[in-house]
Amino acid sequence: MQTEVNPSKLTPGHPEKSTLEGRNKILGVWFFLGGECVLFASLMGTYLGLRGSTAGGLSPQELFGFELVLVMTIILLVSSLTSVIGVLALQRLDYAKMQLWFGITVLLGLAFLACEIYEFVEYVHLGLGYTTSAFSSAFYTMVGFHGAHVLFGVGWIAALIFRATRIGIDETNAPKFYVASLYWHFIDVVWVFIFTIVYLMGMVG
Amino acid sequence: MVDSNLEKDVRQRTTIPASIKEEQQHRQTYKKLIVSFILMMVFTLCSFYAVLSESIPASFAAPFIVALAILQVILQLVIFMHLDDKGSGYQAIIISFGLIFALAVVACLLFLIWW
Amino acid sequence: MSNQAVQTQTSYATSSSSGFWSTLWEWLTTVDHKKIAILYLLGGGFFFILGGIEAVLIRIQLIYPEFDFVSGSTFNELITMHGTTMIFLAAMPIIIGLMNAAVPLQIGARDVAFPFINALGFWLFLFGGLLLNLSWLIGGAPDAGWTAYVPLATQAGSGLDFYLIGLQIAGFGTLMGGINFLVTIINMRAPGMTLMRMPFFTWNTLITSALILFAFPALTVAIFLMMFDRIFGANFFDVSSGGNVIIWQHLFWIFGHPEVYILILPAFGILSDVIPTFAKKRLFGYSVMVFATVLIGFLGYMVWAHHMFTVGLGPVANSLFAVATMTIAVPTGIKIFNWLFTMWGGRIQFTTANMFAIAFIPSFLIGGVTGIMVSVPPADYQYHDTYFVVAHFHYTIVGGTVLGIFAGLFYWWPKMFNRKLNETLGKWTFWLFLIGFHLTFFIQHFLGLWGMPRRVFTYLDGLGLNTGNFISTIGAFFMTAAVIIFLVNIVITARKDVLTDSDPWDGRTLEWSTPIPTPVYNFAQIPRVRAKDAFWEEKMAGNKNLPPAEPLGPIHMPSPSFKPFLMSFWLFVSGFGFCLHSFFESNVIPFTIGAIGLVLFFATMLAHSLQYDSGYHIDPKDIEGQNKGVDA
Repeated sequence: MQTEVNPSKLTPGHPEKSTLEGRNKILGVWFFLGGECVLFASLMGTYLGLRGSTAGGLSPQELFGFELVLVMTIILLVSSLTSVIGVLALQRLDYAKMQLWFGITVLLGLAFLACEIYEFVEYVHLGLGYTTSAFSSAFYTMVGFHGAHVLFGVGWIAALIFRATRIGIDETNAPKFYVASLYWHFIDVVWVFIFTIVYLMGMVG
Repeated sequence: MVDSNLEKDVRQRTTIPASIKEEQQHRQTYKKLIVSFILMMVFTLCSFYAVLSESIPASFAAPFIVALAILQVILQLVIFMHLDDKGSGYQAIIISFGLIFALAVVACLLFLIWW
Repeated sequence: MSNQAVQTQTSYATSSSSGFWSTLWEWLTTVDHKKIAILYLLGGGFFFILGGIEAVLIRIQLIYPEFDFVSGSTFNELITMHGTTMIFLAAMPIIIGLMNAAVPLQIGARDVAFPFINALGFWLFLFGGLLLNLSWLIGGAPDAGWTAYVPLATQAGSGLDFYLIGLQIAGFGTLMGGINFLVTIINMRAPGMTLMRMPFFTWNTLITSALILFAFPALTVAIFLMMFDRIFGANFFDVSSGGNVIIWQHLFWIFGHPEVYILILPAFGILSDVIPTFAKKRLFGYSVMVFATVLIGFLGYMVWAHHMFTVGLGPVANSLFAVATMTIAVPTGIKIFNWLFTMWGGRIQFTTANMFAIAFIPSFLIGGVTGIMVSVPPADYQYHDTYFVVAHFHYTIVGGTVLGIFAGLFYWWPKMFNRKLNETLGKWTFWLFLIGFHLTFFIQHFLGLWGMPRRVFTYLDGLGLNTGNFISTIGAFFMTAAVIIFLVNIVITARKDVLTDSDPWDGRTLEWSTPIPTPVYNFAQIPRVRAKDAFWEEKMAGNKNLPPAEPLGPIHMPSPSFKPFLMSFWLFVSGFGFCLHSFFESNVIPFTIGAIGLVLFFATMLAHSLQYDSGYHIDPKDIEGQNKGVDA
């Protein structure tokens, strides 16, 4: 019976694909993300259908400013880069760099969430509550679902970083980091559509 | 943990030890990432500029920023999410279907709800 | 780490002792696909009986005009719960159970790709179903129909919360099951098992799982939107605040239409395995069948608006969706002909499994033909919301899915339980069910054309509907008798001796090559597949079994875990908390329970992710003692 993990077995290259479990995980998360496409499409479609239904409340044009959105977009884009650099470090079995870059990713994710919370509070102060209009419900739900995904991603990557402090990089860890990074990129993919369609097109009207 | 499920595993695990060639490859990958990151950044800034600039009409800006978003997403999927890796066929298929269905859903909710 | 391994090893060892509690613990913690299959069958079977009782009550209420067996509001609860239960909690879980039983064996794998998630999927389904049915005891069952159209559903009583949250939890479980099978089939096939050599049930499982993957997120969103409307006061479907009720219909049917293909495709798969086995011929037109299945899957996703012809989406949209819908008839027709050609010239054995499979063809065909009828928008304005539609979808789901499930159960029962179901009783079940089914539903086509609307709890005398409804109810009693005989059959079979022949049907595919009972690791050595219908071809070549693809070695097994049960339980608690919101003045108590459940759910998930457990290994020495399976 052999359950001891032997990190020395790993060689640089694709440690995340060195076991069948690892390859299963990667494919599974890709499939999950395929399903998430439909999830976010349903939310986006709902938002697009309801964006004009302000019921006398604030409208997208009156609400959105570009500064905060630009900052949030850049934060998330940079975090996408840091997580992929983290994966590169993982593939070179560079433990310290991997932890560093994933750590930065988590911090950027938290910064993004802080911006989003600030934004929502600001809107509520302006008089746009969750129940104000169909537009407000759809807006908060659409962007909030993305925010919840960011939150989950932050928790996920943080848990992995903590887990890795005990065991370093090994065959079980490598795919976990790799798929968390896939998930994180996907969050950025969704945000690209959100900032384009919800915010920028909202400003154009 | 030894995975004895398939002999394929054993075959895949034998990788070439780190060498100069690998170092070069690594640097290339790195460069690829940075270049696509810069491109994405440029796309993002172009989108914001197109919307904020007075001189660009909204009728042009709207399709333009959607096109930029699609380009950026393709970069993100192919470069950052390693769809260009060998053996990513199934991943590419499933995400394409996801995007096709997503498009159908958005289009229907956009055009097929009457008031 | 090694402590952990030793621990799991001992828990595996204790599981073979026979005390009640250790057996229960073994089933609560199992991650073995063969046991999970049985759990799915038990859970799905339980809800099937529940949904069946609801159906019988509905039919009794409609046996005479102006009958008052149940009240109108109870009737609404019954039709809602009957539809919801049968689709989400009976048909789908039983199908997923059969997938669990057959697919890993058919592709020559030791287990599914994600055994933990497989178990989690089952427990989520079970707890979701229990939460939904809890509504009978607390505040009344949902009563807005299984489609829960708004604004009726947003204004309905507390039952709708149970409907929404129960289905949400069960839906997560199904989604996980879908991803699990996709990855299993793509990544874990035995050497030589190319995609175009896969048994047909596996092919259909693959396409069904893809449909689950793309359909269920739409339901997830739809349910969240209505939950937010009902619980947090959002305005998605509240027209006075700018909401739009058509969004619910779109999202529901974006899920709902693929769902009917999720139900029927596995039944197609069962037929494509059962018919060749009992005709002693290979499946006619395998590659065309694959193409047809993929096409049905794709088109099945793109036709949802045909449920909404009468909403008024406009002539262009109606025409597009009508044409797309009619197109599905082509690949489906290909399948029907291929089954017939498979039987043509074969030495057909009329076992119960095969009789159900053969009866499927004409029964489902009627459902398909009426499907073409309702896909024509101008005609659909006549059929819509009448008993014609009720007859149509019962012909596809009962005449298709349920007959397919029965065929699959009789076919794989020896694999799952090591015993053959009694054939005589099986034939009684078959004839009673088939006659009862056609008695019940054929006349409903005409009831619909004579003007009887769906979902009415009674009808007036003298409208010409009396005889039809009476016949229909009598048919329901026939089906009840058939199911009771089937249950008796199960009990009798359970007391029989274990089969000695591991290949009772002279099977064609890999699942019949494993010894009886199938060991926990399925294959001591992963087999090498050299042809379509691999097991049959080896038998024809004079070999007893498939050649092994690997030397005998230690077999890696996943550890059993209680966490799938626990995680599902916490989600159940959380969902129950949110369901209570209409029973309290303030939201503090419901939301607190809801939040606690969610926190505990994520905490359990975190604990699982931080736990360092890579399973255990079964030593070759332990395997040698047993029947080796592959090179026996």
